[in-house]
Amino acid sequence: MSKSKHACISTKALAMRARKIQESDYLELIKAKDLKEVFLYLRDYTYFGDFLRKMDPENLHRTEIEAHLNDLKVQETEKLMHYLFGVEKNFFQVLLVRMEVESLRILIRGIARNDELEQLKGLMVYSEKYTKVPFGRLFRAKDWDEFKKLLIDTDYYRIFEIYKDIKGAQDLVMVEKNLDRYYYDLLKNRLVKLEKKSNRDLIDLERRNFDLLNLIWIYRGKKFYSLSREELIAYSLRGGLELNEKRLLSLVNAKNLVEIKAQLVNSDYAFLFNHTKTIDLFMERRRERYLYYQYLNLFGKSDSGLGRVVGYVRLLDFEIEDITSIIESKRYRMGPEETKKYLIRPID
Amino acid sequence: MAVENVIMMDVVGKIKYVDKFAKDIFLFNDIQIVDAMHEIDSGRFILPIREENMGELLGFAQLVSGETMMDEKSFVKTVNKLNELYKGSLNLDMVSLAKGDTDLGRALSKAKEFENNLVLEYGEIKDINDRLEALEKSKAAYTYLDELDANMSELDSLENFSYSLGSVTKDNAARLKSIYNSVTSIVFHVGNQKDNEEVFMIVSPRDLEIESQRILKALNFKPIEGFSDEYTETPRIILDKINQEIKQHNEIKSKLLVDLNIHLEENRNDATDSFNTLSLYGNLSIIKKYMAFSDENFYFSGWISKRDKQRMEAIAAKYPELIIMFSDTNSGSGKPPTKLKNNWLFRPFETLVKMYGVPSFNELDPTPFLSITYMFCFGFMFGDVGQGLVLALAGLILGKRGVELGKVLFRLGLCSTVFGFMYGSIFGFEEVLHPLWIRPFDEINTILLAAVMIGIVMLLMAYVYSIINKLKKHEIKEGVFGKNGICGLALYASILGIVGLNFGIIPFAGVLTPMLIILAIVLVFLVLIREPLANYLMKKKPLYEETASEYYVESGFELFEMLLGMLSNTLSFIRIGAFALTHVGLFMAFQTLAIMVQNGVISVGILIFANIFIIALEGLIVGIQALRLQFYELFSKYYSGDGIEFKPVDLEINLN
Repeated sequence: MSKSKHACISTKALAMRARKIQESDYLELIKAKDLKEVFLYLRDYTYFGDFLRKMDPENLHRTEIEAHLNDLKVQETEKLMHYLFGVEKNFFQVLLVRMEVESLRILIRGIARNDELEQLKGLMVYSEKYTKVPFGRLFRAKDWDEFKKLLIDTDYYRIFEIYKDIKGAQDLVMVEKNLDRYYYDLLKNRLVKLEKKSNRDLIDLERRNFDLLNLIWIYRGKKFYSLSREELIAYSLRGGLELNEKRLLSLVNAKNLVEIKAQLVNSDYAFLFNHTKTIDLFMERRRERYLYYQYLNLFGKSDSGLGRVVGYVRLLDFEIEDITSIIESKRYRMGPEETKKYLIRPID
Repeated sequence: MAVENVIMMDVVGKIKYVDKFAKDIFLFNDIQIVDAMHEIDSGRFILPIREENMGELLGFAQLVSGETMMDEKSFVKTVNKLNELYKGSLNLDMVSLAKGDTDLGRALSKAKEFENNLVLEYGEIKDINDRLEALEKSKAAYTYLDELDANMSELDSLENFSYSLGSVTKDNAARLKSIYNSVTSIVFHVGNQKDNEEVFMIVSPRDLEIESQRILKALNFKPIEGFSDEYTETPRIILDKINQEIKQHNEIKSKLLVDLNIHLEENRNDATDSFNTLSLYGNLSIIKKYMAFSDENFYFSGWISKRDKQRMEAIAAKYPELIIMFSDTNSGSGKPPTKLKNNWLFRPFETLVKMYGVPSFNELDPTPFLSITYMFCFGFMFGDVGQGLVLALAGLILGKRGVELGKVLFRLGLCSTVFGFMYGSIFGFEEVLHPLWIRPFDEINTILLAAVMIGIVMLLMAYVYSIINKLKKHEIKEGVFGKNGICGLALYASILGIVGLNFGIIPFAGVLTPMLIILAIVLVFLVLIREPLANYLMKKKPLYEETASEYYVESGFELFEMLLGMLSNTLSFIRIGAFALTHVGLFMAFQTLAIMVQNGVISVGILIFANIFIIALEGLIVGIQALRLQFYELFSKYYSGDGIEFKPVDLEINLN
């Protein structure tokens, strides 16, 4: 495959990346006094502005700001999809499915809590162009059964149909796990269809993410949920790079953290557990920071595949997540130094 | 004049007559309904203030738009249902509607009764369909076990084990396989589903069932439906039984379908009645949506042809206390729609005009001029008796099938035939007929010059149209002094005169030339200062709409463009002659080929191909070129085409 095939979209991604917010912006956001100041800074000094104009600074909801930030991601992903077709476009569409899954998760939790779904409208993020989920009608669903029926023409029906109810805490967790597994299986299946040679780095990196997610899942499943080995395997992800089926099974069989650590001694993922007190607190952030560096690297390498473009969207993801963390830090009245610890992007 | 005058009709009537009145409007048909509420809001619906109008005037204060009250959906639903049953073979019969006094209540109850009868027979079919569906499910379920050589009753009555069949996605199947050896059940892979899921049979000890189910649920294991206690034999025997039952049910079903069709045919008349009435009421509801209502009165507005005024008054006379008012287009009742009226020869060409734009109500309809010149140009370029007749025939067939452009093609074909006789050409051969005028290839200069002459005549006509249109709109600036106004026309004529004198076409060159040159310069000057001049004459201030310098720069360029345009527009018409030559030349090339091959059969083949080729390709090109001359060279001069088309009732309201 020639390099020129993705020259156009790669350049586009470069140009879009140039507009991203800088470290100085982060510092300003961390310095901000409260939610309103964060909002005003985002609206007036960053390219997120267009998506925040409609909001009233006097009546802000934390989660709604996040939804609007994600609207930008939908728009940019759609924009990049114009340049793609075939398996590549299909792969890229999975990035939109991620947001669809998150929106469904919000609605399902709403149903479990007996909330009015209409009130959750502002939190929905999805691509109107590509979604098959009838969100407009979902808001009017009165109960779980009605909700399921509305999804009958989508892949989600298959996931939900065996659940008679989701009121029980256990059921809700399982449905959510199922949704995640659906998303990552879809991602994996479309990932392996990409042209191998030119997308080697991208494919490897996505597979590393599967490894990390599996590690965290097995660790937590054992520690907090005391799940059986079979259940741990049932919800594990396939397609990891270093942790193949055999290694997954032996991790599942490990009796305690010491054994897990021992098994990972020579792997790239030892960093997750090489801490004493903060393993649980920063586990997720460590995974993401690891990936952040990797994607930054992928973005910088201009190989001939989709690497740079996917890298762009992933980095945008992290950016939005960091802003979200900053917004949350205002709620807990955290100081700047404390806030920085929770950000994916290292800031000094 | 081909643009018909339309007038606005405003009606106020008592609400009890509203259904009858709406029906009259529907049957009257040739009326463009306007939203009455909108008319009233914009102050165009004006009732004379008189004592006897008091009630109606007071009604203005409490008006409600019909939009909010009317709902045609229930009618449309029933109509569509009837239509579906009869597979679209029911037609709206306007004649019987006009005659009979339609009764909505009766039609509704008839339709209801009709539906109830159907439910009985339909119900039976539905039951059978349900049963068939269940059987198909069982069939699929037992097929997974068809190699099992044991009675299902034995499986069902196992004491210490339970079994279940279900499917999981491919990815989850991989997960299941990796825990085969540690899971507390026996897992068999028994097949694949159509939707790419894998089917497993799980046999687990009853003691450990709960744990097994938990794991299966984690894998999103979906049980297969269709197993039933009533089947106790081995799967193979069960499958045979099921297949037999499916066959029987299918037979009964096809018999029932025949009965249903007979029933439908027997009741066709009633169904048609209901269909008619309900369609009518559906349409009436739509008409009423455009009305406005007060407690006692309804208010209605619409455009009608001026010549229909008396007919409308006759209808209005049937209703007591009905006030009907007409207002002219020039009394400020909104922008009236344009209703075109042309004779049968020109009417198909309206399609071409509308492609560019609908004439404005105060504009001349260009259709007659376009029709004549378009036909003439086409014939001139594509003169051939045989090929013309082929085109005419094709047009006739297309026209009969409802393709409006087919009718245009028919007329073009006939013109082509006429010119074929002029040129003495039939299917390209020039040996058979004697030309009535000339053979284009023998007198190339004559043809080209004639083409330019035709162009000049057409352009002069376009100037006349332009002047009339502009003066009708009271545009002194463009109409009198503009480049397409009187000044433009005079300038064009004088330039033609100068050219004519100097090429010796017209005598007296010595005296006339200087005079014409002076005239031309004066005219150019007039066009240049047309805006201040017109404003001065009309006593309008300020003289310039923008700054004077800007105006003159702009006007100067326009002047340049105008002079260039006069030359290029005129020469553009040479193409008419050129294509007349191409037409002959193209065939000559093929004819030469046909002679060169020296083989009778192939020669004939080539000539037949040549004709098809010329008719299809050249016919298309010539058609486009002639249209281009109309749109670009002529329409741009005189035609704005920014009118609104008159859309009578039946175009807007169509249930099907």
